[in-house]
Amino acid sequence: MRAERVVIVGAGPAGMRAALVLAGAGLRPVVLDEAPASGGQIYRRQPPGFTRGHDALYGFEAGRARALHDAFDAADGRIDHRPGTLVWNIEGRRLQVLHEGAPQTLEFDRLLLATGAMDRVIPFPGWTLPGVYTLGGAQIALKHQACAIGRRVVFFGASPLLPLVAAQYAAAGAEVAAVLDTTPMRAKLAAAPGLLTGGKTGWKGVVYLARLAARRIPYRHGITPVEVLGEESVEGFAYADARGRRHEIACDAIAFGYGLKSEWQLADLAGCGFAFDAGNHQWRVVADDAGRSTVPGVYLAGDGTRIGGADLAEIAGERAARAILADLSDIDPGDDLGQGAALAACARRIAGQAGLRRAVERAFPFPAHLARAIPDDCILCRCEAVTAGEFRAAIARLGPHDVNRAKAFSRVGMGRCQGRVCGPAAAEILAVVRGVGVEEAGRLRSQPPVKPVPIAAFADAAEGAA
Amino acid sequence: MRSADVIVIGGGIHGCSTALHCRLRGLSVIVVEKDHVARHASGVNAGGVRRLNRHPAEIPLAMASAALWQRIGDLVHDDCGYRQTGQIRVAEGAPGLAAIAERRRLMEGLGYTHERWIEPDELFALVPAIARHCLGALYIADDGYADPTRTTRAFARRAAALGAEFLAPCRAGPPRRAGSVWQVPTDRGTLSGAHVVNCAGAWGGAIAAALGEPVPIEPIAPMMLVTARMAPFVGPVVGSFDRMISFKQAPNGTVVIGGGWRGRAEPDTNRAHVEFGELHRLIHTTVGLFPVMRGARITRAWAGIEGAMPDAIPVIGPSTTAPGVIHAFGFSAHGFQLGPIGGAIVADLVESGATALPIAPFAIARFAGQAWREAS
Amino acid sequence: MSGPRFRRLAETGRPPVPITVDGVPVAAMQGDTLMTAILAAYGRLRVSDFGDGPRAGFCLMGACQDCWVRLADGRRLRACTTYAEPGMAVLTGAEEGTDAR
Repeated sequence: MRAERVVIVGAGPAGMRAALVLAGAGLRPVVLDEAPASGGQIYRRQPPGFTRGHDALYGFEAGRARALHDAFDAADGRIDHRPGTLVWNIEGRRLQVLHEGAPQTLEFDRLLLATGAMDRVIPFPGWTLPGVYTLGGAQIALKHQACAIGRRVVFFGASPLLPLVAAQYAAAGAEVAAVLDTTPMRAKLAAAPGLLTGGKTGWKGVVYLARLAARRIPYRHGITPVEVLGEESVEGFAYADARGRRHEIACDAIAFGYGLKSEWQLADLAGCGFAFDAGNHQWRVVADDAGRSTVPGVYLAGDGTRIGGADLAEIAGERAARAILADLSDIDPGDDLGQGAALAACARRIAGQAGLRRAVERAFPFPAHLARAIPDDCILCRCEAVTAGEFRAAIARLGPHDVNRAKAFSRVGMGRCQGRVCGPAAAEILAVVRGVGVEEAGRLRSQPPVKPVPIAAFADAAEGAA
Repeated sequence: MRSADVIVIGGGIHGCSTALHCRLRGLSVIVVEKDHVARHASGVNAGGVRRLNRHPAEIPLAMASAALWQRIGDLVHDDCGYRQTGQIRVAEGAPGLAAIAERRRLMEGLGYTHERWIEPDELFALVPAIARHCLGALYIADDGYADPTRTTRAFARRAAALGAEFLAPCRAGPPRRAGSVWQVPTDRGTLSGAHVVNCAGAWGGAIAAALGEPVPIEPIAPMMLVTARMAPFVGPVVGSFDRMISFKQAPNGTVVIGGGWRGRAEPDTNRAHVEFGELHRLIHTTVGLFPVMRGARITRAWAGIEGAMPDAIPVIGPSTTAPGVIHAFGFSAHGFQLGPIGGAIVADLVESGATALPIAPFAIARFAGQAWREAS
Repeated sequence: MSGPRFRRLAETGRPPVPITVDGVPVAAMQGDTLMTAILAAYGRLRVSDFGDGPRAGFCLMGACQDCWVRLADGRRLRACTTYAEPGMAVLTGAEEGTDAR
């Protein structure tokens, strides 16, 4: 096998597992990741000097987290792990990165994108005030910094993270004011059989609910968020119950989210194909049964492609690594690396999780109606401070057919997050104004740099070169 | 078959301006645009409304266009985001100073007085944030910039309000002679008209070639960077005689940086790619000229497809092979300011076959046969 | 400015890292992100560029770009992914001229 430059972007479960498989086959993959340590978000490690153990940090997932961390650490030397590295552009077979703040260019032959996900949100009045965070953000504050986002926290939304993070907060000694699920009780009950027969995952959810109940923390279904109370920061949360009655809860922090959305900006820049996933009500990057994207030499794994959680991400990481090995052996026939059977095994394991994935999607459905009903005076795009009313007016006046045109007319999605945060809600609003399905509203195209890059880094590099 | 007095191919600023001026004179117009109005160069350029440092042949047109910019709100019923902040082009070293001296001699010889030399003291007073190595500048106080997408759309909207018809997205094929009129095949059927106007930008060369008058047009993809918001620190648009840069801060605080750095144009796929290797040098220049930019963050970059001619001035005027066809393309990355007058010139040519403005230097005949290659 | 936003639940025995926020000394700890360091003592990280009020971050995973803060030396840093270092002087107020729409 000739020396191939295999680069993995992302050191979460998908990227770590892929790197281990490739290292096991004698390749020395380069693993690029923004964080200072491997683990991704789900298995994120706490900074040096912190003393909490794996059980405290990862709960039920402690065993898996420890196994992956230990294996990855033991492979040091066989994996070229480069933490502190932001990949901000892809031009053909070249990655443009900032490594510890300095610009570099990296060529690759095979690229695995394992870029993970972030919380999917829907704006609601007051959501930009200090004290409102995503569910994932609230979890990171606790896991990575041993902090709660406030003294008394309301959790709401529709996400597997909802009972989990609330239970983690309660266990860590934070006061949980309430857990409010936008999913109606009947929908949750309908999804329950699929959740509970789909393996351990559903039962973990039951345990979190039991733990919340044991602490007498209210858990409500079928709620609708109304607004944050407070002028300069969170002082309370108002919601409507399933019968439409308004309730107010005093709190100084709110964590919310509606499942996860893929960080697919790099896949977009690489030219990968996308498809709308009706089950999850969002776009995903297209991959074949082995994790190959539509672009030759570019592979995909984990939540960055399609939301499925850490266990699926790890299997998908292995699968993509084996696909890379199989494709390399095609280059050099005669050295069949025996990947066929292993690939098939990965595919079977992933297929075995399909039922659970669907059950989770049903148990925590994306409440698109909330996005369509965002009040006109509510900020939609928090980067550019554009309200939903301004966005609707721009659509009505200028008649854009997709979100990219709407962005040009309204600045929604034009700010520094490139629409990561407001994109899903903006597409829902555009779709309802135009009277079409949300997939017809399209998705915001990614532009380099995928995250803001400081000019100073390039100025210094140019000086060094001169 | 649908017909109009004038069939315009291309919905950029020149196509939209042509539609408006034709309607103002009572001519019926259909504009055919393969994507949407302002999709390429007209929508993604830096928006410079600049007479400063124009090619001498373009100066009379730029002057006439500046008069229309002065009353742009009356013309298109939208202020187009037009701001007369001034445009400045600095000298940073001896070559820049020499270029300014040469430029001043040229302007004096031609009798132009609109570009003013300013000493370093005045430059630093006008642009306090600029680096102190600058040695002086040429300046036009009432040049400025506008919002390119908004402007182009405003021309389209006003033309449509006056009865121009826009077909977009709709591809047009090369015009064919059919007796006394021209026929233009499109996705939505064939159009016919006495006049066809080629405002197809980077794609204008293909139309000219189909009419038997090929031109050496090059599709280019000028790149732009935009930063996160910063406290206001510069009013005028700033360029340099020594380095490739164009620099301006928008009213919302974002800084837009360009200056002719090129990405990769793919006119066949409609895509333009940013190439960051080149942009390192632009960033170096930026920080050199404005030290405050060290603290800036790039949030977006883009490129748009534009047609560049080898002599960097456009093709404007009647076809030499196809009577009734008028060309206005190849503006070589500085056609935005000329937009308002460009449409008026074409309307003149449609109406009377002539215009009062001196357009001889832009004749397509300059590229005929071997003449161009021998001259260059 | 309002009181502390984040509440420390554990790991409070770490060595101190002295920084200032709007000129006031703040007792950060080794391993604190800049965000934690600031919000364990204060109620905001910055004010919106558009004058629509204070902001204190959102996603904490380097995706939403809401938590970029300004240092007195001109640097701009994403607070949720940057560790606090001794001597950092954070300015959370409006940059002159940018708080108007």
